[in-house]
Amino acid sequence: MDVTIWIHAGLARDGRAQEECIHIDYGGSTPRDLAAVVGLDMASVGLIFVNSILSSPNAAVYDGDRIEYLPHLEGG
Amino acid sequence: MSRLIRIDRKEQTAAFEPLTTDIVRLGGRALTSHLLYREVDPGCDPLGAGNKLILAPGVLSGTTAPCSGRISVGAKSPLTGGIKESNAGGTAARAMARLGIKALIIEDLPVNRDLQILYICKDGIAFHPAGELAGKGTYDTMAALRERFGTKCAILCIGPAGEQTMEIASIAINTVEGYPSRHCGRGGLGAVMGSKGLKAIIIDDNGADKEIHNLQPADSATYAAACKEWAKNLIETKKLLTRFGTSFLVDVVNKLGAIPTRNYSHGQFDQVKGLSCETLEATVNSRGGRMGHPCMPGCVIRCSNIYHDERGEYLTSGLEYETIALMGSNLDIDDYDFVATMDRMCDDFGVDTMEVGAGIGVAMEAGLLPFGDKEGALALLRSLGEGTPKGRALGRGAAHFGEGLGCRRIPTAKGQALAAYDPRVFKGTGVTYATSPMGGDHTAGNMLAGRGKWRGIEDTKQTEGQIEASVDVQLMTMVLDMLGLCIFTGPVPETMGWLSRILTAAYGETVTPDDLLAVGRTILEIEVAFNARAGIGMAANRLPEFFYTEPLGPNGTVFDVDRERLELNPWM
Repeated sequence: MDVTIWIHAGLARDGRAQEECIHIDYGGSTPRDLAAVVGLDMASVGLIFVNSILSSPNAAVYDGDRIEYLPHLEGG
Repeated sequence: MSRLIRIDRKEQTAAFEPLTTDIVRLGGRALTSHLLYREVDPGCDPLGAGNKLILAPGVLSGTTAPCSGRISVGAKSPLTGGIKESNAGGTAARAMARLGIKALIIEDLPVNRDLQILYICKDGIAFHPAGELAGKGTYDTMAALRERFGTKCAILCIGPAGEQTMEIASIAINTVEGYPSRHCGRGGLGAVMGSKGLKAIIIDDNGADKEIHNLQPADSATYAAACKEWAKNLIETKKLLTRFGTSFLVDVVNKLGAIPTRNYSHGQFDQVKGLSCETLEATVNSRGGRMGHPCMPGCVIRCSNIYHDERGEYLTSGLEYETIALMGSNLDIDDYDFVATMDRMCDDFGVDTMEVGAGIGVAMEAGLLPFGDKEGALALLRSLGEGTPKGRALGRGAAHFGEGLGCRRIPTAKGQALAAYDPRVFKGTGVTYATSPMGGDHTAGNMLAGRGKWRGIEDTKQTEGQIEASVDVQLMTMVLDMLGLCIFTGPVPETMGWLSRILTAAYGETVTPDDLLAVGRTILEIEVAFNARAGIGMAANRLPEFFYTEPLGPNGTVFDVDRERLELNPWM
């Protein structure tokens, strides 16, 4: 299946917001699985949105979904 | 040895007082609120002889504790009519602590209206005339005072708004570089200072002897080691704040659907890219500004920034999320140069950026000017600096200004503008807005996403558990405010653990997290009691009607936390 991943600048390795479409050969993926695929440390992830809905790291992800990773909120 | 300084503006006298036992271990907000409750009639006129302006560094200020340089300023607020504390970074807390000044109490009113400067150093206290500074903005004032008193002094001053006792007037404090960009912004405390006839307060700690410092740890080696370890932890865990400052919240709060947009009519801003943290970082770096700037000595988080204009010249410092959102998305504007210019003008006039952003938002909703009108917004703010009737109306705060314009949707609580987290999505922060004795103030207990898990909070939009979690965070915030710590160190249980270790070393006896929270609760109860006597009872624990009835897009949620409980007694 193909999914789109967006990573906030504060989490991305090169320090710039990152968006990419990735292809996965197997089904049953979750945001946690996909984070491992793109080398994202889940400990630094505070919020996950799947198709703009706040979701858990273990939510089911389907073909065509958009998964967004944001950092923990600090400050304010 | 620590002591109080009491300034009588009517008699033009200054006196040193020993500490009474009830205040020896208090500092910051805990001390300002305690002294206000002890000495001020809650029914007094905020700008009259009965009110007192109280300045207090935190308990840990002036020591090696990281991020401990906040100064609290307290008084009865001319904006809310209730008790108020507003704290800021800058250099003043450290200077006061190094001079052994636990608190500075300024009382009564001067006989004549000539502005003065209050000068405090290790050798004594003096009053100087300040007539030549009348009407000047904080930038010119600060520059003149640095030339006159030296660049090593800490300076607090007011702008024209404070002189005109506007309800949203702030008190500016200099950074190490001398910029008047750190402000005790909330609640109109600059107006109280103006009513006392003080244009500036100089704290000159040159030559201060270490023996007189406010805090000398009982176990200095353990204290230093604990502070060092905590500092390392903060540096490691707050990297995002160091890099982007609070601007990184723009993208995140927008994604959560809680960024105020067009006067809180929507929770997402379609032009958010223009206000993103990456845009700010790129703009600042390309013009020779600076990200990762410390707003006070000893800060290891360094979330502030220095913003240059298109010519590469200094424009303003410390663009924060609240200002960005309330001057940006709230006004339907996506231009950082506009936001920075507004911030500079607010700092120079000496007013709260949040009240101005919210005030212009309601003016746009009322049709005084259209949403997105940058020139109109700049002109309106300029009129405040000029003291025109319209400008003075804006200077009364968003609540008064909006009511005068016939606006029905005014985002305030207890007369104070809300911060840039819509309470229909950030329901825990909504509880804080509604219940805090400080009025609509996120710095009294911000329930950011991720906080409150210990109360079962998994989503800022859930209803259950928000009251308990907000109260917890308000108590932990009180502890930070008492100690002079930046709230970005975190009003969370982990921080209470660090502070337990540090204070145990400081006092030479065990201080538990529960001990700290117990002090926090006592002070909070004092503040609630002060407000009750000022006529602001539990029934005032509410938000404007539209937050309960008008669903906020795109989530479609309203503020639906148990209203009856908020208005009876949320603290039980």
